[in-house]
Amino acid sequence: MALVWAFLMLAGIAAMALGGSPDRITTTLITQAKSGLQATFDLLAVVILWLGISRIAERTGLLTGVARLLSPLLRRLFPGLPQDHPALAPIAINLTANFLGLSNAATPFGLQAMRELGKSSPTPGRITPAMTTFLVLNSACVTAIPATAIALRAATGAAQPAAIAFPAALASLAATATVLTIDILWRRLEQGTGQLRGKPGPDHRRTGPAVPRTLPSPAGRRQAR
Amino acid sequence: MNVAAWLLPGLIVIVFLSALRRGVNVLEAFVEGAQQGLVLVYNLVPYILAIYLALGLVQESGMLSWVTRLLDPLLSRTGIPAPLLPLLIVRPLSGSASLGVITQILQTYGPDSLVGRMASIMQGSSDTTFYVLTVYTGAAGVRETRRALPIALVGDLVGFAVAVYLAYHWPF
Repeated sequence: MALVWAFLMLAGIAAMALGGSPDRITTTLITQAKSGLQATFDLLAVVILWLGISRIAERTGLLTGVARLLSPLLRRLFPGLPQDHPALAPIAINLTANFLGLSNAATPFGLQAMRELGKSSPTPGRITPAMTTFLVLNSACVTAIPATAIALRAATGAAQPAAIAFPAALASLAATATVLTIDILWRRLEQGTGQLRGKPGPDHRRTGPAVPRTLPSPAGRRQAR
Repeated sequence: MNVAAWLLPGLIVIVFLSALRRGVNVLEAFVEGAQQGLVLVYNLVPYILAIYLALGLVQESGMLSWVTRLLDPLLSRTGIPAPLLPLLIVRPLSGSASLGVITQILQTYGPDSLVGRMASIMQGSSDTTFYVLTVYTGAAGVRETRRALPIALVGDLVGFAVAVYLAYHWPF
């Protein structure tokens, strides 16, 4: 990542210098820093809205409900996470929002999920297998309804704005299947060479009860009795 | 087909109703979650600025048109129209920048042209890989991406290839 960034920065500066506008390099950098700041404000607005709402949903127990609903899928995707890991609920919502084409709502939960994964990582500062899976899933993002593309097509006068929805879903499905397959194979390969046989334990430690302030769900209360 | 228009407000109503039913202090909870989000984004500002700096240089320098000219003979053989190349390069970097590029494509060539359809499918089927990787690892306090970057890029390539194929062969 750092190398990609350095390459883009250097190539951009070199191209501007050769293109005869070295005087614009600094102004471009400052303008860009400003629009980057603008982008963080846009992000901040969505994050505040959705993480605020999400905390209410967490207190009511709705979040754990969503995670439980998707748990068969999540368990398979993230075998290294304990069943009650606090990242599972935001992961579930992030994937659902992406699936429905609500990318604005997906990002705050993606960030929250990554933060929870970072907090419980046994190797702080290092990337864990669960983080990798979540990252590649988000970069490919299975989308059933490409809302932005449809809106853009409608705005530019397409005969059938939504006509691209199915092919786009297929393309994103192909990308998702690809990244998941490579990720799983690569993980097995690394575990095969790194640890001699035996099933590897969870790569994220438990962080106590998943959501301490959550009221137990009706099902949980019934079990407790 | 406007799911967003109904889904999100409905979701918020459900959350509030069930919070009131369970006696949760909604305002206090909202403020707490929002404060957490504030700290999260505060820490992410440098990461986002880093991406914008690189992207701005690439766009302003005219590098995109050089690369497009350079790769054009190669691309025409694979059936990828040249106007699509800037989108291919910008799409993994920034959502707002690729939105600008695709709008331009749709306005110039029309949304129902081959290029327009290809661009729409690509926009709808991929995400901003570099942006997601940088900002998400930043949120986790992680300073490396390791295999995530190559895997994500291969995924993008596969997605783009399928998008090109479908734009040619899909019965629109």
